[in-house]
Amino acid sequence: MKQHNPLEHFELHPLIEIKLLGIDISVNKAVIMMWIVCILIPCIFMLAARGRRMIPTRLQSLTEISIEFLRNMAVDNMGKKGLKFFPFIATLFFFILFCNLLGIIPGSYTVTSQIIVTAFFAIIVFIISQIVGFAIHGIGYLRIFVPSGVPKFIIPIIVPIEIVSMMARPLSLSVRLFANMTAGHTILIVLFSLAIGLKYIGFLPFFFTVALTGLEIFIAFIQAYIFTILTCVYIGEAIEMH
Amino acid sequence: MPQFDLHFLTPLTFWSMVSFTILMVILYKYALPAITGILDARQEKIKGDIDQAEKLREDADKILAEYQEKLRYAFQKYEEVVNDAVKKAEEIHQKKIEETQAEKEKILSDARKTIEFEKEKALIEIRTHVVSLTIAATEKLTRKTLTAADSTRLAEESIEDVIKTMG
Repeated sequence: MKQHNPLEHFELHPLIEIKLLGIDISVNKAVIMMWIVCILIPCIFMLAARGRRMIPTRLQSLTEISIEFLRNMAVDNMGKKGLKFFPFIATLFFFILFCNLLGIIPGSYTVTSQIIVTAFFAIIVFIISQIVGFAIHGIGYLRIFVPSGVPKFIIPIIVPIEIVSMMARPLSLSVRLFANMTAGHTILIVLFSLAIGLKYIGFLPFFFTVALTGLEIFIAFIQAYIFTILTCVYIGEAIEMH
Repeated sequence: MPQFDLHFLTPLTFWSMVSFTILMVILYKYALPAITGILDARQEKIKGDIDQAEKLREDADKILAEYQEKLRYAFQKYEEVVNDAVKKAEEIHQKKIEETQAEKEKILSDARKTIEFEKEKALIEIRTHVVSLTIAATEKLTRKTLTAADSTRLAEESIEDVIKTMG
């Protein structure tokens, strides 16, 4: 039996070599998955909103519920002002969710298992929250590093800790999503190779893969939700500064 | 890990940015307004429906109150009519009873008068009979003709005897 690296699945290969102003923007499997997501989500919305029915179909109900859910999440964490960010929040949620979900389909690629992608979104969230903070509170936004009610002599210790904790946010945000997706898929790949490798008791790991695929679908939702709600919390904190 | 291969840093970042931006624009311009539009329209409709239902309920309440009032009035009227009828019936009944009583009394007194009259008549007849019988019997026994004074005395005695016997 040929032993192969279970992480091989995550390797990318340029499919179409493109260079823009000397920068490599070659298309690979992950990029194609992003395109599919970008086409799929508007199609689903179009299908759902078609006819603008008063009595909704199942798909329409589903999209309406998710939109309401995201809107409530935005308002709960960011207040009424946060509704300005609602399109960003909604896009983020659906983009990550569909990247996670489509990755489960065998033969496809999980875009969110690329730390570059998750880090990109985490950094965007970080930058947006900082811009919002400074735009609303000006230089006073720096007070966010000094929690209220802290004795003065602790401030020199607490401020660096707060700064580190702030900097850790994009790191934790990106690593959480990347690690969850990578780990789940690695386990699935290992179990699948076992199912094929173990000839007579191969059905045992196969059953596990069935159960784990269900779990992966659940995790796809949970991780998209966590990423989005943390985004709301971070931006909400920048808006309200508590 | 292959994910840490920095060869793909620029392509993935670039395409993430492009795809995300395009998706956000599409959602912001078309998809989200469509869905929120439906939600708002439905909210409006539900609100309108509830308002209308409220109005209809008020109308129904008003009509119900009217009908209850009418029903109450009708019941009152009905009771009045029934009471009147009962009273009238009782009056008629009483009057009939009185009339019957009076008639009965009249018939009874008429009867009594007739009986009295008949009795008197019978007594007079008896008296006449007894007188003539007594005179005839006495004349036969004494073989002489009685004087007027004797016949009167005899007649008186006989009549008294007869009356005594008759009770």
